[in-house]
Amino acid sequence: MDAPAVMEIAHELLVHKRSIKLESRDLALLLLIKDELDRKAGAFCLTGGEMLKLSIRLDRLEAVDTTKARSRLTGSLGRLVEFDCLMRVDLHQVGHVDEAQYQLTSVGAAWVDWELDRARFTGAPLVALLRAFNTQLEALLAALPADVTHAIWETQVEVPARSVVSALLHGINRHQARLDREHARLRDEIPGLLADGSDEALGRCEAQLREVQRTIRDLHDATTAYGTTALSLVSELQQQESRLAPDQRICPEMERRVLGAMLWASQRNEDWSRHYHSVHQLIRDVIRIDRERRVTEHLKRALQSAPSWTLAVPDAQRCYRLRSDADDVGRRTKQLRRTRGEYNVQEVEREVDEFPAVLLAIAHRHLADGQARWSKVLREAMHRCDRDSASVLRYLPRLMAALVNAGEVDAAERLQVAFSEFNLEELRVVRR
Amino acid sequence: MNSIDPKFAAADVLLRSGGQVNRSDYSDYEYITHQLDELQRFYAGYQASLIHHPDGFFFLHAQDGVLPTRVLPRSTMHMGQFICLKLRHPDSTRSAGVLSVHLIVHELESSLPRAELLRIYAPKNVLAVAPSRALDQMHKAINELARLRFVRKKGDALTPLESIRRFAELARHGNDPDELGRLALQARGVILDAEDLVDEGDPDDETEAE
Repeated sequence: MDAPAVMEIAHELLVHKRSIKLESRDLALLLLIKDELDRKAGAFCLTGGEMLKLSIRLDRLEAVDTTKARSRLTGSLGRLVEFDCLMRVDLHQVGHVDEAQYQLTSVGAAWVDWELDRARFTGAPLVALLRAFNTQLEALLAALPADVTHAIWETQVEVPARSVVSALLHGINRHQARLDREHARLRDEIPGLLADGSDEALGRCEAQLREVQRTIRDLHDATTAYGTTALSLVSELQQQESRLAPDQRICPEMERRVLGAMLWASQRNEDWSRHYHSVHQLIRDVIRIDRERRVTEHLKRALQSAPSWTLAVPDAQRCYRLRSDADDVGRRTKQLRRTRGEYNVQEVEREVDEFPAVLLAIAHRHLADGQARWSKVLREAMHRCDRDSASVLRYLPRLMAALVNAGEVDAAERLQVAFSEFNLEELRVVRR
Repeated sequence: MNSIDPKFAAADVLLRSGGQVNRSDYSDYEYITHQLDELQRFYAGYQASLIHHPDGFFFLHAQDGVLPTRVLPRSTMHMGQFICLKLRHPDSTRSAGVLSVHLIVHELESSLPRAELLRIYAPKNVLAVAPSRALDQMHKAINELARLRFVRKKGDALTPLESIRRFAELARHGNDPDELGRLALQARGVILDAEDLVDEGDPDDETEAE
């Protein structure tokens, strides 16, 4: 389209005061019309009677009185025709209102497609969020003068960075919750398609799975790429931060958020790979091979009584495998990071706390020498494990129980011993 | 094949104790795949055969050979078949094939008449203790399946592995195999018409019925 033509059309629009004013109900009706046309393969128009049924469905959805459905439909149809989203296509245009025929125009169809695309959720927003985050960080870095001072850092970096992190966090949370909801819905839908077992249902199931799998993989790749860039930018800022504002740690916060988004995408990638694998395994091994479900039925029948057959397995004397890596077993364990249903449990590795073992070993050593004062035991363990006094308070009951069980309590010893965070009444135990 | 290779030791201990080697046991599976011919010759010396099942996993069949064998108890067989059935249901895809021990036991309890359930899981117990005994046996059966690597158990999560399909061997033949089918099944360690044998492998049934 050349420029004069565009201006001409623009002028015409202004002169004739053309506008589009549709109500939410009109748009919803448009969506149902498109859906109905898709269902009736080959149909290109709907009658007024069919439209009325769709309008009643909307009334029920809105929980309003359905007796006025016809008048509401008349209003909607009037607006949709006026603004070129629907076109009346019956030749006479004078018949009964229920016999009138309407067709979607290209404007109406395009709007519905756009709305469907919007609803079909992809990972694009998360990538866009990270991309925007990177752009903002780059801008912050570029605007930073060479001789940056603490004051400049505060105004030009810290305040904007906090706002950027807050926006990123909000956007990511909203996006993740929506994507998880959408995928949970799909997971619920897939067993129904598999139970149907028809070629069409299996085709739809496979197509849906492929689409989600591709989306998640793309999301994972893009998140990794943009996340890595974000981390390098944060790292640049961090160098300045450690020099100018060692107490104001905004960079670690940013780093944590970005890593969180990357971890989330990676976790979803794993979850969906597992799900994809399990669905395909079922299709391959059960649904396609055992179309009549004969094996399943035989299994059900066999389960109704005690098995009349068994399996013979070797039962050689156990020979334990001595592993050189056995020392490492139990030093690290896994801890739930967050749960969102059974299929997407997130785990992070955490170090096993060795402090209690050290504490008890020292206590027993002191007792073996004749007596143990728990303040001394505690100090020695803190020194050995490099722990501060506040973090070891919770181990005191365990230490007390161990000492009391292992020796005789000296009731006369009631001194107060000062630690940096608290005072401790001495507990002296002598060997039995 | 090098018999002092730690990988050999790991795979050998597993196979001799009746364990199945599934694809998810990466290290053992890879080792056996690469050394299959030599391992088959090695176990032939014990009059046992290392079988590569059509579904992909490996196991040792040692009946009538030098290695001692045992048969799986009735409770383990029943539980194996039940898990196999659950895995064939489309709902198992909701959790990517991971089942819950708690739900398995609960569904098994509600899927069979009580008398039949007790006959399978607590056949020798007095009626008063039989229900709790049956519940114990169900959990023991699951643990046994996990020990033999038919399933992987982590807390309440139970992941059936491909070897669990051995429990559908008979159902594939309509529960009534013909002569050829019987021979094929026996070559894979299946013992048919085993009503008298199935309790022999259950060493835990000590409380005799009154």
